[in-house]
Amino acid sequence: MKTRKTISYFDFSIQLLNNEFKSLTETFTCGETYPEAGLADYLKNQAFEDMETGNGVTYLVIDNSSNIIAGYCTLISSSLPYYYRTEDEEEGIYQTLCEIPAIKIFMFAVDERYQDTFYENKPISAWILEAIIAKINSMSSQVAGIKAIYLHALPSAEEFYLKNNFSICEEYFQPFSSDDDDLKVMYALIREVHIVYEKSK
Amino acid sequence: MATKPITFVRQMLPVIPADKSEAFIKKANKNILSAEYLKKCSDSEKKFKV
Repeated sequence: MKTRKTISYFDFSIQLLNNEFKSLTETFTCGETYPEAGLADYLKNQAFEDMETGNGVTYLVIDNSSNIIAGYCTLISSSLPYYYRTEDEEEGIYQTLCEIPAIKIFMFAVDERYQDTFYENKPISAWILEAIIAKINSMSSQVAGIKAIYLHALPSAEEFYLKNNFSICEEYFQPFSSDDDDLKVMYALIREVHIVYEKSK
Repeated sequence: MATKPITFVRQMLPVIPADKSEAFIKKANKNILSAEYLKKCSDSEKKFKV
């Protein structure tokens, strides 16, 4: 059981990952056992390449007072697909592959040293997640249409996401296949969704 | 990250029958983050320095 820590001064910044932070990433840790340890492995070994190749954009949360990476988040543009079945007189029954534009939180991790740290009675992890949601919400009105946010939750993190307004994905829509297919998909909507009634021409 | 072919999804993804689409969307829309919560998120974001 970890000891709860409280900080009285909030001095964190959010910055895009770049090579200047390479040495800081080396001390990032999410525990010694997998799958949690894999979150640190990703930051150290894959995140830089993914920034270059377009596979993911990583935001670091830096504790400015100690110059430690308190957490990070990697985002990918994506969609939640679903099949819709309908019928018309000319073509009979047909089904259409539709999508809900979404941002996938590909990675979200908080360093072990901050996992039980609270500010104003709220865990640092929740502060970070809320900031990320706000960032995505801003993108949805300024950068590209986004209606949903989803992620594959590690079993140890499901409760955290439920507490922070995420839900288990509905049976009819699931993201495209990925390496995380064995994990539960959780999502939240930032805009109302509508079914696509018309067949794409 | 490598992704599997779309045919895999075809097999796995259930099709929403037309008569259930309204209920499906209604249920999904219950998960819209409230304006109050999004305001809270925006306030949290402002706590972070850029």
